[in-house]
Amino acid sequence: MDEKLWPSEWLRGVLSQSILAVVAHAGVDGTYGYAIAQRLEIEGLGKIKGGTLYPILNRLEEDGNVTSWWVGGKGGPGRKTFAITASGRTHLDHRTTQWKRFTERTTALMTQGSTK
Amino acid sequence: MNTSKYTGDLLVALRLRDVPSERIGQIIAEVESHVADTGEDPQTAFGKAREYAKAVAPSRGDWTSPGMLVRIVWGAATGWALADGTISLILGEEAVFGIRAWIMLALGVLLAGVMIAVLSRDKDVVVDPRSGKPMTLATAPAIGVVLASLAGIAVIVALVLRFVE
Repeated sequence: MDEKLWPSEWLRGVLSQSILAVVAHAGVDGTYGYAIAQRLEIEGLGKIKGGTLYPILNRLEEDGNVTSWWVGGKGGPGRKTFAITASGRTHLDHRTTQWKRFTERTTALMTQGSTK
Repeated sequence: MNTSKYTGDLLVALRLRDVPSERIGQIIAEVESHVADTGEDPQTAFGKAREYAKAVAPSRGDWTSPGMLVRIVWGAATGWALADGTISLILGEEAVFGIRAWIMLALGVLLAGVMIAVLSRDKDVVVDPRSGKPMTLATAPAIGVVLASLAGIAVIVALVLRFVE
């Protein structure tokens, strides 16, 4: 994680949803690890290392939010491709709605000293 | 660190956490694929093999998990029974606890036989999810090596104790 860009505890809280959003955006064709890391960097979240990325992807898969398959690699390294599932999309929509409310409140609190 | 050395270390670390072979194949293939794409050193990208094993399989426990402890005790007991049985038989004495030498040796052979049978059943075959073929990793029978080392240590301890007496 790029701690210089954002506090690492913020990233820990939001990275799983952000990765799920990147996978969702790739649609049914799916996307793979390095492309996800590049996307997150382009979107301004910083450089995410493989050691951070794959445990999160594996957890998303264990929870049924993404599905994966290997493309190529019979003789070479190949690429593990991830796509969002129907329940993953529901989960992401729910979390996105929550996130909007959460950031609205924290922003109001920090800028105005109150959410009311 | 080159990739095959790293994946070898990772395999041992995952084995010691008692991670199923199918998962190990996936985890190692992910590392190989990722560093092939990024051109990074695997340790830079994934951290030390032991730490990555912990991150990717947090619920599996480490070498203190019940399954691993049973194996460790089993390995040590095998080495002890083989060594003590053999030495006692040669010296024409009784083995520890007054057990007859040949019974102790037979027990060692039995323990070793069961250990080898369990290890060779399917545990040590890590299948590459990309090709469906077994992965060719230098350290594939990692647990076997660990147990054999323990058995070896037990043999040495048994020898030392016998000749100190």
